[in-house]
Amino acid sequence: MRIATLVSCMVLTSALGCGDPLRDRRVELLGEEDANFPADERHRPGQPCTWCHNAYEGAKPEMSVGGTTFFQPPDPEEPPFIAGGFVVRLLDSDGKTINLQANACGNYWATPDQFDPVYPMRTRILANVDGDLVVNVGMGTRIGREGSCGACHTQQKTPFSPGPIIVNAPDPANPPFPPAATDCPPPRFAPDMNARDFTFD
Amino acid sequence: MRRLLTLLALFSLAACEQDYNPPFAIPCPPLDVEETTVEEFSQVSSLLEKRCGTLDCHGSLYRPFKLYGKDGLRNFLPEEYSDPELAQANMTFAGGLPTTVEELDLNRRSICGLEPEKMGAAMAGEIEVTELLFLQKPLGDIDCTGREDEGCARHKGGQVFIGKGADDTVCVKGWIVPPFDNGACSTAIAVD
Repeated sequence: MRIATLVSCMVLTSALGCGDPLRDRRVELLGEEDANFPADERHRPGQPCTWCHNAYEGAKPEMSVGGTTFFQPPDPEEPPFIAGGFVVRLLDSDGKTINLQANACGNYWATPDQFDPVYPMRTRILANVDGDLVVNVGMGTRIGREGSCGACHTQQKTPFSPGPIIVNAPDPANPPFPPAATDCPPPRFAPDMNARDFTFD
Repeated sequence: MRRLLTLLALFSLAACEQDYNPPFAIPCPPLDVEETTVEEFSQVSSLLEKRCGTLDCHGSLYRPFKLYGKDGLRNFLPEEYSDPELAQANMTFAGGLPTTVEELDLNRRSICGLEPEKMGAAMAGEIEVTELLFLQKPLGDIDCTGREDEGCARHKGGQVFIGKGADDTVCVKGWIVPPFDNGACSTAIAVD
């Protein structure tokens, strides 16, 4: 009996020891699911998708890349709002490319089966203008390793972030896209990984 | 007898004294000797900021080898650390101010501080510049296959420099061992 208990304890301890405290902690900081919205393709706009949608955390579908597009109203005091319907084009170092259609809540993603990028990767956001895809904004830097756009594109511009992914509008007072669907959850964003509140207990 | 022993003890202590006055300096190509050195390293830094210093790689406070710059990690004031509005007012955010001279100096120190002894040897021409870890890694020269348990430091970002004879490597080499190749730097920086 004692041996069985000892063995059980050892197995349990080994299993607990297999966790990744860094990944677990950063997911914990993303907070609970918003109870007012379903946990579907619209959920958690702004947050880093692949932090949960990966083989380790197990959220389905598994994602290799994912993010959310926003628009900044002309008044800088106003917070950015979700801009849906754009196309995010990715180009990896093997020359592979893919166009990802952002949904009505601005969320876009690729599964590893669709796109398994070789880093570094480049990206452009395209707008559908009269049936043609036209470059709206290009990312100034390469992406070195992070599949979640929201990991770097956090809520505010800081010494560690350029702020959210913002699409352009020729006339910012009348953006050429509809406002986000009313059933989109409010943006949540990721904790700034460099900020003081990101600590390991 | 006691005086003799005291004197002997004092002499022994004096013999152990070491002069710590001269400052210990890590060998590093200077930044502020003349205007050209700032311009030259600015080119090298631009290349490294673009290829290595993105926010998800070496533009992170968590990396031992940190790079600062316009589109990546910024050199921030303590007050800006927890006050994004102040950072925004001062343009000290990723994508804000152009890379500052202070950030150039931090990048220079970051490079030279990585392997100070080898940097001195490379500057003196005793070893090849490409033997420095900060070039071995982006050149993809470290093969850790079968040596993962030996603490082999593979480069997670893979090969981000084209090759030893390519413009990117020539640009960096020319900063450490002159002559500086302005053309190689410009060409390397222009690569998308």
